[in-house]
Amino acid sequence: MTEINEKELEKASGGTVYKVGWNDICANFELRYSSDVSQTCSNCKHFHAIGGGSGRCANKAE
Amino acid sequence: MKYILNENIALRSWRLVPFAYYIKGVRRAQKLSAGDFLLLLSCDGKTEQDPEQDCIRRFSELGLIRPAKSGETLSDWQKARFCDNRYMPGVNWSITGKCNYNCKHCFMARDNEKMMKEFSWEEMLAALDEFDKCGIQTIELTGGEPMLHPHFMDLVREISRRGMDIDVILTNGAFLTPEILREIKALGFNPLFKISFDGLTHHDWMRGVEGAEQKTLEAIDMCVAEGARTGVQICIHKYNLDTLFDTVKLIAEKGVKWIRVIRTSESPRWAENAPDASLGIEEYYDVSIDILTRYAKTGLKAELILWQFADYYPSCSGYRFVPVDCSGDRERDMRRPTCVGARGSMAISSEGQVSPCNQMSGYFSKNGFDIGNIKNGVQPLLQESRYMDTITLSCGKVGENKLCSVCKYFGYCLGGCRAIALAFTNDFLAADPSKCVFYSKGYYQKARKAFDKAGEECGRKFVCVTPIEEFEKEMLL
Repeated sequence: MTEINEKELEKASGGTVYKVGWNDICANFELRYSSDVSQTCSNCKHFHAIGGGSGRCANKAE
Repeated sequence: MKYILNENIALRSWRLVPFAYYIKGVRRAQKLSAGDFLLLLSCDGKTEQDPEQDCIRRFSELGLIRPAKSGETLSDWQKARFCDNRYMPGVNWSITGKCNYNCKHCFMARDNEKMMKEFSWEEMLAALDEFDKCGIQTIELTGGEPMLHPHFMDLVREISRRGMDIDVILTNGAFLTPEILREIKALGFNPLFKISFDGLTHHDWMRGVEGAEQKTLEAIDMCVAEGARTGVQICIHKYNLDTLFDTVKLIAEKGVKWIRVIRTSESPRWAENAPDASLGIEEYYDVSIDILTRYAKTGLKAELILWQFADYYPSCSGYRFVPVDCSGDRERDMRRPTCVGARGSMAISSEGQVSPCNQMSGYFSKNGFDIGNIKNGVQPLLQESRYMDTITLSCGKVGENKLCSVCKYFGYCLGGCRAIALAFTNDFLAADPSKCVFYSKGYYQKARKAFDKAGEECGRKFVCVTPIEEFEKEMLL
């Protein structure tokens, strides 16, 4: 694992690195609960609609 | 050795999600640790790396990076973008309010001049600049009829040039040609074409144009023949039930992958054009059970979605109840947004107004609700804004209403669909009455029994992928 070099990150981002107000849980939360209404499962390519639901692939029922 | 990101990988950073990447064709971003992000930043074709490093090996195996050829550099799309806004992966963009059809239920019909606004080419380019700046990757194009926009294909080409993706095109199919389908494919897109078709012998009436049925069926055939991902949406009401099953069966036999049946709701225009034609919630559920179970017995391969009730997946003979699965997972985190669809896709009207979803846009427009307009900038909407407050409204907040707060099924439905709640109650925070009916009138049990019976009749077993333990025990007694 590469050590976090904050200065390098700041340089790459032009000084816009969001160190305040986030943590691991925040990132997971934002990504997890930002699904679309319809998508293809990236694992099994099974097409499914989630219509306000989970994004869980029904193929997992097998 | 120098490494470079694979062509389908782009690095992104947002408020609250500072280290992530997109895979082209996958809507949601993938999270990275800060260390991994930093390493991938240096996979730019210029920086020397030790090929023996664990993470270099790991990223190569994952398909994120590869050794760079001499002089190779990252495309603009791939380069890390640090977005000073919250994460939003996609937009559902009505580029025009104009339509060549005159549908009885749609507020963007041909004779509704008020809704005829559309984005100019300059406004489209400005919007794409904003999407780019905010790290929005995926665009769903809708209308009106989006292909009626004079710059439709220019827009598709521009989206491709910027490395963004189009994952859905909602259309009535009237302007589809094999040449257009081929060009869209050649530009690197594989969108789902969601084509509206409202039933054999009924489509012309619903669309207000003679010959629409024939034209739409031809468009569906063309999409399938060209290998495009093809889906069909059917609006149902009391007048088209007689051919509903035959319609679903015919469409599935054509090789369509996805069929969605939607209850035509009580929009003002629909009430005016077809009073008393809407199905009540119970009627809709009864029809849904009948269609789903008859369809499941056919063995046809298209997925069948009965909007906000249940989905049937032929690939695993499984079915899912939407009112049970709104929670998505069993953790039932009450901080989560009430609709993940709204949270993950910004609905934009032909005037640029934003709303949580297109189902609500008509209501917002009619009642003068204004939670933002992208023509004033997208980034402010994704920072601290009324729009962001609306789409991140938590389930816990909805659960405070008087019905949900005492309902033992709230953990499953989480108050239900906000668009339905709003349409029926005029209250954005109210319980969705269609979910209340599902539980109070025993529709879980009715549908389970109907699927079991259908399974016995055709010698197969249909699996409920959203079981509720309490009901399962009850049914065994």
